[in-house]
Amino acid sequence: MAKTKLAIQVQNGSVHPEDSYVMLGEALIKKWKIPTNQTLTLRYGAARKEIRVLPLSQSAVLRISDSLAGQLGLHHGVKLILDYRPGSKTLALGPLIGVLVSRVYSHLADRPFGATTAFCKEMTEACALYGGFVYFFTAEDISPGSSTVTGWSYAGRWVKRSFPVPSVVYNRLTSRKLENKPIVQHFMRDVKSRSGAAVFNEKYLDKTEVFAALRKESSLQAYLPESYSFKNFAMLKAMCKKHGIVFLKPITGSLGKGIIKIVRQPEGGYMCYFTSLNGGRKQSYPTLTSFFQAHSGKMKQRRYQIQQGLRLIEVGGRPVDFRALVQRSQTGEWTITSIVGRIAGNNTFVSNLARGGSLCTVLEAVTKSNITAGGKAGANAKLRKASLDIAQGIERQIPGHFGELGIDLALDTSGRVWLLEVNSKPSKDDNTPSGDSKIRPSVKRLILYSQYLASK
Amino acid sequence: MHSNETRYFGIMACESEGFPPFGERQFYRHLCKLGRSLGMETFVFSPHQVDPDTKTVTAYTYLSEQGGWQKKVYPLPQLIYDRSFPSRKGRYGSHRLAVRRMLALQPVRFLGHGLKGKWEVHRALHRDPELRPYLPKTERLQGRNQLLRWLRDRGQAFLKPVNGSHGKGTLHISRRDSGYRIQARTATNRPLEVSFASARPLLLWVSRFIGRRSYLIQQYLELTGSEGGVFDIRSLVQKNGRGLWELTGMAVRKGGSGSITSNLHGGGTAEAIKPFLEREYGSEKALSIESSLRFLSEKIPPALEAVNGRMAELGLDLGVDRDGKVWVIEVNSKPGRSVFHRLCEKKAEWSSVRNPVAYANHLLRRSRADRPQPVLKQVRQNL
Repeated sequence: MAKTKLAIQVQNGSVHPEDSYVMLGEALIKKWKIPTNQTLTLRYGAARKEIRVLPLSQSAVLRISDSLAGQLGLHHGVKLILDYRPGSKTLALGPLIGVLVSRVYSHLADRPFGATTAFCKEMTEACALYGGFVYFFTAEDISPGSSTVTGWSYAGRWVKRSFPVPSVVYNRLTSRKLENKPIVQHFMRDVKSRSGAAVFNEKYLDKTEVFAALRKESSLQAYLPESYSFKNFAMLKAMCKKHGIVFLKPITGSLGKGIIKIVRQPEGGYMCYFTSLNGGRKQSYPTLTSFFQAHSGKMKQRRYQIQQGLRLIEVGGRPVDFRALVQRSQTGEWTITSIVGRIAGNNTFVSNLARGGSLCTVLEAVTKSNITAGGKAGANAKLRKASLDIAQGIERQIPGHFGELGIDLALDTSGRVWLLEVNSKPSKDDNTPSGDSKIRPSVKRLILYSQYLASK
Repeated sequence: MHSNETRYFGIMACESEGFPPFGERQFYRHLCKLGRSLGMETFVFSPHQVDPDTKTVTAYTYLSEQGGWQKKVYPLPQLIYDRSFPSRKGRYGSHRLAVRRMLALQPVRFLGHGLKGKWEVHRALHRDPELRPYLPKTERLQGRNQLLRWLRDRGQAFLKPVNGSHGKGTLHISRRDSGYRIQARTATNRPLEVSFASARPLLLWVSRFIGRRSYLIQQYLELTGSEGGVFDIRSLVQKNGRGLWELTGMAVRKGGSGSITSNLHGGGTAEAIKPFLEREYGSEKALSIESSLRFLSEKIPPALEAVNGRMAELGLDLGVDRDGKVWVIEVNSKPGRSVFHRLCEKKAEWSSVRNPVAYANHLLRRSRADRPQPVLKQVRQNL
């Protein structure tokens, strides 16, 4: 397969009565043996145009007339990957990446995507550097059955216009509710079947689903704390008997809200810790029965996961966990983009950053922690291996296409790795401790993976 | 300036023999008629005819109803279209001085800034990566070693004066088995050919020929057609009545065979580009060559304006080599129009005359707020 990155040059007017031509460097035409005496198909996202190729003698660009550019939604100066497929007589330009976002604040000219705007700009810059074009759209911008989508792109400022349906859809919807809207579901099915687009990060992962799926893989069981979908008091009693610490976590929770930690006290009784939006509180109960009586009402309203508590490593008395960002590479392989340590904030036992934790490197976290000497050795390698094992396990066991996963891991004081959670919509703000380079590796990977998807 | 005030549009020319005392009379006659039809008092003047005491100028305008050219006294114009070519040595200094004196009397705007030397033009275009592939490799000529290195690496080199025109004072130096050969044009555009057995006499001859003038050394381009004749493409781009650049027209200029430039001054002929390119390169390649010619016509004006300031019109000399590669040879900010006349391209010929007047009208109609132009900068750039 022949591929190259080139700049799009848009020319005013046309030198030919018909606009249906593209001009390509002569050297490239010779190298790829592109026929100039017959019609080829030019593809860009879902758009298809019948064109002729004409040779350009000295410039390694792809030049098209402004009217053809307008029909395709192409801008002057955009850098794209050109992919020639002789079998289907097709020149494919791309990747045309459509990022599905939750909402647009169209009245904010500088920050139409709120806090995500910086990430959107970074995607645009990464496309200019590595080749590709990205636009951003919401569920409201989809018109069912249409071959175009109204989206926003950045070229010095944010502009809204019509684009072909993308060849790669990157789902960044931040709520299950939005994701489950019929129009979104229909769009994702439709673009896959009709225009052969790839959709990645297809859906939110459900904690129960993840743990149930991974339990099927014998090689992964060692990473999984004992955990069940909470059913009844008997289950609570059995878990608390077996483990000194037990967690109750709402299944659809996020940001660490509503989690209950139950710690069996040496002198008898149980100390329970509760998280809420404004910090935490604790309360002791003489028996499990008294705890259950106080909370059974709440526990019937929501579905909870009951989980074995772990003696996690701590730094200065605060628990530490790790967030691995695992992404698929330009060859589709799972690779680790980053792993960072997260030290919990003062008043909470959850290290979620939204709750006031702080970031550090794996080495820092391990070195400063209360891990045993034996556990310290190879901790980093074990975290890396676990991240890849888990990502591959998810790919094997859970239907749906994921291009990146945020995997939350922990180490206990003996150095054993535990899986806490898998997030299919990892935040783009917290995966690099020091963002000194302009385009983060995580964003570069997204573009390269999109290129891989578009060329498949 | 209020809209009901009379607007004076002056065409600045150098005086010559005859009546009215300047060249391009046909062109100026059309400018005067068109200018007046748009409500501008339009006249042709020489800066030497300015009276500093009354701040007036004795000038010429064409009035059909009074039977032709009339000599009249006008206030100094608000806007000047510079068509002066003070080429001869003594004349250049005195012309410059006269313009400077006139500008000292009252601020005057020019229709567009003039271009500086060829080296500045090359550098301005080279800043744009999209234009770079179309620029022949060019350096300032700095010394003997540089010339010898070019001849060693490339076998030949083209030397041209930074401030020359019409191919005057250019040299094509090539290495031969037996030494070197120079094909040159003298300062009066006379062709010349000399050969040298070794580098030493070559360098001596070249340094005498060049004297104290500034030169560029440039990649030599084989800009000949299939029959061996030299040709280039003239593209005229102008600001129109809305203040926007437009491509007025393009034409092929063919020189006599054996000459090293295709200037029409050397007595060449003109042809429409499409049939010419198709004959020379085949229909497929002709399309992409034409596309590149148009691309350059579209990109060069804003690229130069970004560095040089606002301009009104440009004549682009573009070359096409035997491989069909397109090259920027030269850019001229006081372009001629005769090529369209020779071609009988009535539409392009008419637009080429109408555009500067329409653009003048556009500039003079804009509000006062837009108007302030740093007068000193204007003086510097136009002299």
